[in-house]
Amino acid sequence: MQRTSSCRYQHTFQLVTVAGAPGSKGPIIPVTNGNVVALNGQVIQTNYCGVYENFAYEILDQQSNLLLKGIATGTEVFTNISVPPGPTPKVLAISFATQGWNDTQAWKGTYPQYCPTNNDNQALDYSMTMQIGSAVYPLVTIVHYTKGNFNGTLNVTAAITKP
Amino acid sequence: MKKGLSKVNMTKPIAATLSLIVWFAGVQTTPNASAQAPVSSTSSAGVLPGLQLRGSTQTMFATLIKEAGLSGGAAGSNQGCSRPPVRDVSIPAGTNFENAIALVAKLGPGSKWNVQGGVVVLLPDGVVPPLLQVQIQSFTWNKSMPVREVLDRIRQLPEVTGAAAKLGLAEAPFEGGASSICLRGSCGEEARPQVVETEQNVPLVALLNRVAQAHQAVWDYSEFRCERGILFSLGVLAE
Repeated sequence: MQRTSSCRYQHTFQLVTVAGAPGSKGPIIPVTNGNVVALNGQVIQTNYCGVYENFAYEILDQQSNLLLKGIATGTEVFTNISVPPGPTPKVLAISFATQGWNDTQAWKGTYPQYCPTNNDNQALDYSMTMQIGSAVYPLVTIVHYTKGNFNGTLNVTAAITKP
Repeated sequence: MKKGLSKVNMTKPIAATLSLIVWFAGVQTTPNASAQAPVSSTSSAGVLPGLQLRGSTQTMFATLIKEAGLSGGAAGSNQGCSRPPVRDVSIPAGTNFENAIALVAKLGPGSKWNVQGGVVVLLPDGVVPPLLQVQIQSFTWNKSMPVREVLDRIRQLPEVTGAAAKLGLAEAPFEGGASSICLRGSCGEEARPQVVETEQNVPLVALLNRVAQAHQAVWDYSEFRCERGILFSLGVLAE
């Protein structure tokens, strides 16, 4: 990963336990004509058919301590997408003193036309860049996600592959 | 482009009237600090500090919009089946908001920006994509409803699904999304007022702009040319 600032920013992010996601991961939820619901209770998709799971993250400094000061604008980064085009990267404001972020990973679409078929699935790598002050910093953590239909079973997996 | 959905070029009349506002000298300002800031019709002295940006044209555009406390929309038409490339942009200190947006817009092939009713919009070649021109007969929504849910309901309106089918557009897979969450203490989240609005006989792009403005969000519309057909996605880029 390239750096774009004169300063290295070896910050990472980690999974964090929150309500609805004990152990930082929500349940794997197969849906047939229902809603996709984020950890804050907001409905983000209706009439959905497929599978999804919520994850909760927070940012750490170089010493792996929680970062508790400052405000950033985070932008999601997706790479190594097995089935393009991949997700729309979201831009979100994060106040480190109180906030982390919820990443909802889902696959696939509106019921009934876009239900996942057998072995219809997606794999990708996930990270974030943080706009802090006048500089932008890529975080070093990468999460590898898989999601969709695997031999007839709907599933989502997440594994931190770096660092 | 299919018959009946003519091109609309909205760049010229609007771009001339644009000028903004306040740029926050510290990028670490509270994102909602200027929720009510108008898009002024006069030049602004507000300028940016030096700024490094990284992302696609759309995400850098959304970052600038959010940092300025504005609302916006970004439409993109990709010639292939992948998202636009990630780039790095350096905005020199002293650049004003309009020039910063123009600098970012230049990175997208043919991307042009304008302002529609106070909403900053990025369009491919300054042209509203055919699906966004479809006329919405009536849409009732509650402003307290989360913006992602509102846009999802708009995407499923019969006028939209019908026009998408006529245009040969298929839905891109829904893959989720991110949002900030409160982990500790008070995050200052206020309940939004229960205000029900009904929009009638408006083009889809105007409806999206009204929703974005009500939520101080940035909508996203993208088309992709994939082996399995032309896919589209309609959702929220920033909120």
